[in-house]
Amino acid sequence: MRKLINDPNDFVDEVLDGILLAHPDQLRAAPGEPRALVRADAPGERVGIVTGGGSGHLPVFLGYVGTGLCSGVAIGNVFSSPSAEVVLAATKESDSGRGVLYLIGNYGGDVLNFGLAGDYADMDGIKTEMVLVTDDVLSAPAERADTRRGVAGMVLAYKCAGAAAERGDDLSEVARIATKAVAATRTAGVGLSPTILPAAGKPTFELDEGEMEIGIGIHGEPGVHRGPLETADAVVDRLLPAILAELDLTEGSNVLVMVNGLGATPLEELYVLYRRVHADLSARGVTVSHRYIGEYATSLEMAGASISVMALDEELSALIDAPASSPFFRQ
Amino acid sequence: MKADTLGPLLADALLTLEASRDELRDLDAAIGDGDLGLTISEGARAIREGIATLAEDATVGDILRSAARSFASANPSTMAALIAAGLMGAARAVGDTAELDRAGALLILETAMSTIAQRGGAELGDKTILDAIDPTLSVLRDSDADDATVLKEMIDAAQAAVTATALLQSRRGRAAWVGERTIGHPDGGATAYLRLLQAIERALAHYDHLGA
Repeated sequence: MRKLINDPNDFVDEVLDGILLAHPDQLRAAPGEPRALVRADAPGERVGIVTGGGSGHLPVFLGYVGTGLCSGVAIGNVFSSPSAEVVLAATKESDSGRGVLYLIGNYGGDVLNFGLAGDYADMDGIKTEMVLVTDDVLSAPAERADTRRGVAGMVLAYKCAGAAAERGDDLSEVARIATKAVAATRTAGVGLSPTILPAAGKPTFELDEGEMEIGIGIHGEPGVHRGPLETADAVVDRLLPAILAELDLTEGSNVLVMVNGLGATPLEELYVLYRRVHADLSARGVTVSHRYIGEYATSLEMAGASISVMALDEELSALIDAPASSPFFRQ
Repeated sequence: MKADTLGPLLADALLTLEASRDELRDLDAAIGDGDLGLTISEGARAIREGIATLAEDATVGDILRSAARSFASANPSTMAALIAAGLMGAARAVGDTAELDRAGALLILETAMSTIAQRGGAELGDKTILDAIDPTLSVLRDSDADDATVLKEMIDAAQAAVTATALLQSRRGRAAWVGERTIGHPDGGATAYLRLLQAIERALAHYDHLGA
């Protein structure tokens, strides 16, 4: 294990310590709950948006707490769901009286704990709604799309819902926007090397040198194809069709493209992937009006990348264009 | 039954349930990760401690809400979050009543069962706690015997259901990964529900014996 850490059991808390020390003007912990972080100016007068999940995916999740993004986050151990009590602490600190949207990836433990936190919040008179991000097309076939996992597309859902909350939309409208953003987004990814959990010290799965796994999850969930590593163009040619098959794009459509590194893949390689994506979409007459290329949702030191495409209409374009600012994301 | 006797009775029953820790751990370890013993025993202990701090005028809803939060936090796990969600749903359904009658008990069990099914995405036959709760609902709904007899009939129905889960293949939770090899082992969650009913029977016997 080649990691710059101290006691592995302190890993998550030391990460949070460091982030709060570095960015005290933008983030703070909820009173008495160091695993619940909120915008320094929470709750403001906005609808709250609380997200969260296991650690190990920075900038997901806490990197998207900020202006024009989420208002709070509940942080679990590495790859483990936060408890309902932590979610509740983030919820209370994010609620201005206008309610809170839970916007999370579709993972069993997270869905249960956020659901339970919603029950608790209801007891305290806080209204909540939940929208699940399910953008990973390779995690289940289309007929079971509601069981798909949420990956890099979460960031785009945060961006749109966060912009809606920032301009003052009410809870049902913010939830509608989030749902619409999820429906417009598809992602597919490839892994080239496994992740090592700090506390376990061992890879979460085995992938031989020179192999790749198409469709692998951000916790090492099995993918749809494992085989010899192929060229960047060949990998794009596997991933992009799976995405485009479910987006109703025609000549003249506008899209957002996100090419996301999973933790250990250099930015250079992400641009090699983007090049092929751009060329393919252009050949179909589709305009890439927005692009995000970099590390947006990672899996510790996993090598690999994901490609997300979001079909844009005027409403979503405007929300994507709105200003946003967090210690990890600014535009 | 008044809410102010329900709390102590439940605490008495949960003390008995805690003794099922090793049995439930072993059942779970055979097909899952073995944390069910701790989830149930630590959860039962936390509920008892929570009930002891409730005000004297706590309602049935208050007791269930307290139980939910105690159980979810004691040994956090998927099972703990599901049971807690079931108890929260039951608290909402039964409301802030000071009296628990048979219709109330039925409402609690029905709501807990439907909430657990919905949140966990489980169906009857998936080899879960639902398979044990379901046959006891029809007993409680249809029987016109006295309380002690109805409880006895519910225990018999749950026992038969637990035995039958051994023939099923797990389709939910970590045990689902084990697949066919789960056949032959009774389900731990279903067994936990049976042990709870038996513990309540024993606590009720204490209570009647004291003539309270």
